[in-house]
Amino acid sequence: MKNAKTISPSLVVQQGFNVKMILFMIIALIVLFLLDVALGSVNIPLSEVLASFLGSSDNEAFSSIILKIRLPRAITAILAGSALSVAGLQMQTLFRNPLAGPSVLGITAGASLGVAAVMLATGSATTAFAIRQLGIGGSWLIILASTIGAMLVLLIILAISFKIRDNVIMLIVGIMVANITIAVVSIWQYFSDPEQIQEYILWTFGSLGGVTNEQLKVLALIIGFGILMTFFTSKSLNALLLGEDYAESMGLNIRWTRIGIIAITSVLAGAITGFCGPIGFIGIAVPHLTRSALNTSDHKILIPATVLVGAILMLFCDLLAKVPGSQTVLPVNAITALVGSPVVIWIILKRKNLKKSF
Amino acid sequence: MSLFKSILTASNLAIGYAKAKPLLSSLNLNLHEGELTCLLGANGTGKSTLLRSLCGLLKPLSGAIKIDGHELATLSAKQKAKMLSLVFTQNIAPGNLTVYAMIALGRFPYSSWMGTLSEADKAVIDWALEVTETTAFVNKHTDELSDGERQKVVIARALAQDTPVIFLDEPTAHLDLPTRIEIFDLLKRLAKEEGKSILMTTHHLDLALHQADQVWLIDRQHRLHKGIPEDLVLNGAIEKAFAHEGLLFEKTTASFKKPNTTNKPITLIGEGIYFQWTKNTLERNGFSLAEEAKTKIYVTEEHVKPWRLEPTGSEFNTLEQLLISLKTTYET
Repeated sequence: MKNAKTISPSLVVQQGFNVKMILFMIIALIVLFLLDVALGSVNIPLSEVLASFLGSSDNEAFSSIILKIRLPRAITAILAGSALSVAGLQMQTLFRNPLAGPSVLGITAGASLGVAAVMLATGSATTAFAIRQLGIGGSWLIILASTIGAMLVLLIILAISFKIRDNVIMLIVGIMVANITIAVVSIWQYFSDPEQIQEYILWTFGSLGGVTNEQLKVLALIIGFGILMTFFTSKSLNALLLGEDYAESMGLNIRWTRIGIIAITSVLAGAITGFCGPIGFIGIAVPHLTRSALNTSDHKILIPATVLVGAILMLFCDLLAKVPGSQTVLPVNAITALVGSPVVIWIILKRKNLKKSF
Repeated sequence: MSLFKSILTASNLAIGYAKAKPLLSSLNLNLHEGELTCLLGANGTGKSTLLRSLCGLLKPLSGAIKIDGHELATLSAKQKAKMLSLVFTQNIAPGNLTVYAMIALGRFPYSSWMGTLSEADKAVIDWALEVTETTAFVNKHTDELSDGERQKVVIARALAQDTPVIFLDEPTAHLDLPTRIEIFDLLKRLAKEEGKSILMTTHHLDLALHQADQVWLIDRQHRLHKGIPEDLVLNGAIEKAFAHEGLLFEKTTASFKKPNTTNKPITLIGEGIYFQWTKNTLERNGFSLAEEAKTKIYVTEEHVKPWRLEPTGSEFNTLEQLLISLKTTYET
């Protein structure tokens, strides 16, 4: 530092992101959100949609559909898309692996186990439907079970993570724990009645429509908190881009960072899985799409952008799932993979830079 | 030795992965301030392990390491990061970061919780860019750089961390000769002009012996020899550490050579650079230089045809022509 000089005029440092691209994303998000609210199996004129928003609609049926069904659904889509994408981004950076996602650590599998425990193990007298009939706050029990399941797997993973320093080994352990959990669910299904299995399978299809206005408040609070926490990890995530040894040499506490990231991820993914079922693909694909679109690995830019892209993609998938103009609603889990996979393949072929990001 | 101020000391240090079988033990080391220290040794002797132990990434089996008077083990990760920066062998450089963003990561221990850079942070980054001569590609992505440029950027990142001590593990591996020299030169300059205390492992014996202020040498018996490079050449420590069956150590040049096994004596007469390269050609092709051989080569740089072969008296434009002539003579 003896020769520190003032900045030479020739040194102009470019910001590593594209402002136009971010603006485009914000506009796309607004447009898709409005479309998702406006379109559905019941044909509602655009004027009525706007009137419902402003509370000046005379048609009670329309405004009820808009405010009680479509609006919560669209907001759920935004929350689910953002949460799963941000969780995926953190997993990919932490494990420096392009295949990582919120499901790899067994978080989704754990949630599934919790739900299976409620739906399958309680005997035919108390199926999930029966539980709902009992009136225990709608499907709160399912949500509670899925969150507990996710937490249980998370605790096992965290306990192991105290023993292991290497993140790649940690990733393998996570995948193995997920497999064990899935195997337990399989065996459970094998010994269950067909009606119970049907309930469970319906849940695994994933749905954005099952969240009531009241539940949405809780979900929004949890997801908002999780995403806020993610912003606090952006500096650590950037340091992890260089690998654990470098990150540690720069003063990062690897163990606590890892615990923090895993905890945030499981809250985000666990909550969404509980409320909406296991939604695949988004968590892996969106971080890749975002990095590709902005050509940066800087998490200060990537985290907000991933929130945007995740919400956009989820809204788009929901629009397709509702099959506008028809009475059908397809399982959202199938749509996310059906729409997203070709997009990712196209990006890989076009950019060839996915792997360089790690 | 006591003339030099030590920034990092290790006393009675034992390192390795198993307590019962330490890789190196009873180490007493002093890293001198403002000096370039090269850690040499054959593969598997524990160079990298020693480096990882000295920077706290690997817990020593016993003994104490002090950095600037502080016990290394008692420092927090952040305090350590302000004392010591690292450059590892493995190729890092995520392609989606610009050179500037990459170097800015070095400010990690100083920047705010969001990683926002202050004016002071930016000044250090600019200085790191300048001394490593990487300012020209500050906006490039790291995957667009050549290996040598990338290595400089990685070193600039360590400089941005603004630590008195820098450790580098094989920073010149995979680099071509001119780039290797450039990197050694840069490190030497950082030690001399910026007062950095630098410890690096390397396989490039020749460069290390020419550039290092101090050499730490681990031999095959897992003993560590310390000293200035020339002493270690003269006392035979270098030769012993790298001794390899079928290789001869030349003390004059401090390099290893395969000994001549054939007996084709030639007398070479001349001097200067032409003489030196003619000697190389002959040795490479299995001829040995003798005082009074039947075949003689006279080298005169000023002649149009610098090489004259006796007793035939034929003259040659190039060494290649000379060589062909020699080979045909010896084969018949």
